[in-house]
Amino acid sequence: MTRLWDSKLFSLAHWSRRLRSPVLWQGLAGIVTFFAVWQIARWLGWMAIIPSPIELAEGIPEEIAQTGYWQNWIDSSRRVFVGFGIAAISAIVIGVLMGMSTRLRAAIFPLFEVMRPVPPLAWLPLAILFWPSSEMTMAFLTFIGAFFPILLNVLAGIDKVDRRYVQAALSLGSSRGALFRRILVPGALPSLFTGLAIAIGITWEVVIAAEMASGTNGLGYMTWDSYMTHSMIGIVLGMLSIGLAGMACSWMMRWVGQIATPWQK
Amino acid sequence: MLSTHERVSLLRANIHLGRGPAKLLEELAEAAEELSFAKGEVVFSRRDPSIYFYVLVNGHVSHPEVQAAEEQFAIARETTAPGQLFGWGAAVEGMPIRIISARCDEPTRVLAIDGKWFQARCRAHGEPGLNTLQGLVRAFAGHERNIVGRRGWLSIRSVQKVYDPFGKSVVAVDSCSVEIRPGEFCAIVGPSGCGKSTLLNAVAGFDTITSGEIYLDGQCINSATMKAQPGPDRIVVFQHGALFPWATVLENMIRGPIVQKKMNKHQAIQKARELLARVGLSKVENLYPTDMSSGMCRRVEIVRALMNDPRVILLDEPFRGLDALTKTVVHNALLEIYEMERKTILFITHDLEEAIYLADRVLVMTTRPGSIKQTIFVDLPRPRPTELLGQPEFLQLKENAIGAVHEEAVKAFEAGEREMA
Repeated sequence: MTRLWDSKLFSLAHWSRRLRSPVLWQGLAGIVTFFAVWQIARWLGWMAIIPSPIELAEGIPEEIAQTGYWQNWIDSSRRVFVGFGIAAISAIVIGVLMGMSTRLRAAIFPLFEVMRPVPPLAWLPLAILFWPSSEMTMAFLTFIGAFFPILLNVLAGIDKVDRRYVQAALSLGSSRGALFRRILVPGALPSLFTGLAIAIGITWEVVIAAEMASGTNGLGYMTWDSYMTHSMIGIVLGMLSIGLAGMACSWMMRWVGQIATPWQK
Repeated sequence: MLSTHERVSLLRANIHLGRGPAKLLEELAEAAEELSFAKGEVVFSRRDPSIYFYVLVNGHVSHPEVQAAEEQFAIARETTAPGQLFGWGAAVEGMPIRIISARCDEPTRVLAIDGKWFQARCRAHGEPGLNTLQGLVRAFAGHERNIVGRRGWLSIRSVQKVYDPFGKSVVAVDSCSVEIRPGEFCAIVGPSGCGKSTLLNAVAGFDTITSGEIYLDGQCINSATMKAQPGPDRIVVFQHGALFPWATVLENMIRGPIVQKKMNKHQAIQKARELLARVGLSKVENLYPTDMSSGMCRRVEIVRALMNDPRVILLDEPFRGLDALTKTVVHNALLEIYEMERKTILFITHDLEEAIYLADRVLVMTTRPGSIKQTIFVDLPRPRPTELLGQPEFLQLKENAIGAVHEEAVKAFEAGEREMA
């Protein structure tokens, strides 16, 4: 794993460059301005129902200190990763099979085309009735949300592999197995990671909605529960937590993608 | 002085000419010039222009150079049987000068026949005449392979390719025959869409053909009845390059020999480094193709082809889209690589100047159906420096070639217009 240690994450030079770059400071300035406008609006008496940033800063530590806050993170993340993981594995396997065999593709694709436009939440009633526990229901919904974007991107990735590379590989004497491992896999990898990054975003959307509808814990449930108990700070904290979680996951996906496809710039 | 009848029976004794049409033999017999040489006299020497080929009437002719190992092309050491051919390079396209000499060991009588005239007569006799000519060329190339053991004799025999996408058949290539001798640098020039890439794909084994055969060193690699397979004996360098973007230069280089199980990883890396060093590319071995200029990528790709020790390197307009300055650099790199190993090269391009600068022989292909219409022999010495591009002999050759090709181009253009109308 030398690549990991060589990667940007552990490079001091990289981080000092990051700190000096205007992009970082511009981004921070944007966030600061946002909160400043919000605070001023509250001082002017607008949006009275929403707590001001200062109130939030005072109230949030208290909310976080309550039992169960971090447990909510763990619960939501677990659902995301279970659903996402199963979706990724099955979408890659099915996608590769469909990519390799035109016959299989012709057989399966129309079915998927009908199922794909159905929003994950439209599966909710059926899922609640079908799965014995709400945990399974939520995992299933995240699976549905993540499956199609990954599958479509795997297929697109395999289709996009240039015929020249296949021809060149054949001409260099590659066997069928080598063709798969050395050409189709690396050729489809960038597209796969695009699919994974889209999918993990969708998974967070779905899991939050599912928790609000049928959960008893998790970040989505927390947000909904705060609404039920009229805790404005809880609502905003829930939203912020979900945003941060989604961002962290996308960021992680991109980072894994960069390590797995070092030739992509 | 021999009678025409005696001459014909002499020609019939020859294994290559003997099977030709009777009319052709009669013409040859009448046109042949009878010459006598004294003992020790020289019929031709090396580097003489090759105009005539000879049929022995009686006597003994020897070719002193044939044993010499450095000779690029070789034929039999001596000619003793009546009816035997010698100096037949003159009858073969692409042999403008003698590569060996012929000396008479005894008083000798021969029939001399003009090679160019002979080729024209063979063509005039249609299919049987062409077969005679092709047979001769093939035997010549086969000689080279059998005697010197050179590999890379590519023989394209009346190949036809008809595409039939929507019931409307399109003849991309028709009755196209080319003989490329081992170590020859042969270029095919033609306008876009004339079928030159189709021909190359057929040689590479990416595409089937509808009639004809393609042989590599006497072994059939593509025909109408077989399913062609690409292989490492014919490496293709593609138009836009096909270095694998996900592999570094070194990984790209070692891929071929490893999947063919010719070398282990260690050996492959060693050979790759050696080759890269020889062409001055050692510094790029850990770069990804996206980190390099397109000119550099093309050079690496040609070197990658060499890694596999192919018999033929097929270049499909490899320098298309490069700017003029980069082109000259890559041309020189290609010539340098060619000088290193003298692999047979089939080079496809639409740029006549490029073709003349690089190749020994330029074949002009015309549109729909694509077939070889003209041959331009480039007898410029190698190595060819960049300055050659500005020198009078090059410019003269180019001018002549453009003149010759222009006529065909106009014809093709007009035909195209008619087709559209």
